[in-house]
Amino acid sequence: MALTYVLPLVAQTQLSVGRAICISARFFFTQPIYTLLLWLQIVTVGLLLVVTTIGFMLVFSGLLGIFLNVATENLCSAYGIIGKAIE
Amino acid sequence: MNIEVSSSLTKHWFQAGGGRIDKEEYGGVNYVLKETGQLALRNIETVLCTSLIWSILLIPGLLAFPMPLSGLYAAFVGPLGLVMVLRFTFLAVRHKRNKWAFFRRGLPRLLLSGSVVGVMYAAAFIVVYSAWWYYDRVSASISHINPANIPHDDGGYGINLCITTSCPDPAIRR
Repeated sequence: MALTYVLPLVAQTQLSVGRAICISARFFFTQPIYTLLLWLQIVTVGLLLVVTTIGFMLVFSGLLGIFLNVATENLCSAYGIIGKAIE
Repeated sequence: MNIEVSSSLTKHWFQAGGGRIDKEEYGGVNYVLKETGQLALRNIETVLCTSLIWSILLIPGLLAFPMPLSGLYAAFVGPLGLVMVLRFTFLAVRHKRNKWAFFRRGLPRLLLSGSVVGVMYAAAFIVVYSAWWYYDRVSASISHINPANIPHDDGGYGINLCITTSCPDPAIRR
């Protein structure tokens, strides 16, 4: 769970993996309930889509991508971390 | 915005963060869910295409290889593909017009970072799988306990209960 935000941080801000792990762990330890609720959503939606099989193939990773991006952006803006997203 | 850097180690990484959160800009999980729903509906073609490509990369490898290799493949390719998906969905949502140019520009660095994360997950998989292998092959007393083979009082086994309760009961007609 401490690594929840690593992939979106790497994808959005193009940080190195080590830095992303540190920031992700920091996010997790300062906002554990937020991260727990994110995981609850991911697991619930993932299980529902796995049941349908084709839904998992068609929707899961794209939905997960938008979900994690928005969740990480939300925390980054709250902490005042404006990543150099595309430079 | 409150700026509070709690340790020198994180000073450069958390240039403005620290431990305190700006409540005005923090939406919470409700905000995340609403925003995700709206963005997913507006960018449904991106969601479908990226998911399909990720599944096409992942699922045939899972089915084709035997168990340790397929797990390693999934542990490596899954996060690597997910980094690409995250990057593309981010660009598609926030930078619609130049998404392909930005995506191409950041691709080599992204591949490298994704590979590093994939190797980490593959290493974690090796640790878990080797532990299972040890208990299965070397010290077999633990993993060979199968609840389905435990006899019940009615003369059957646990697996019978599972099968009979999951089957619909057909109506018997004369």
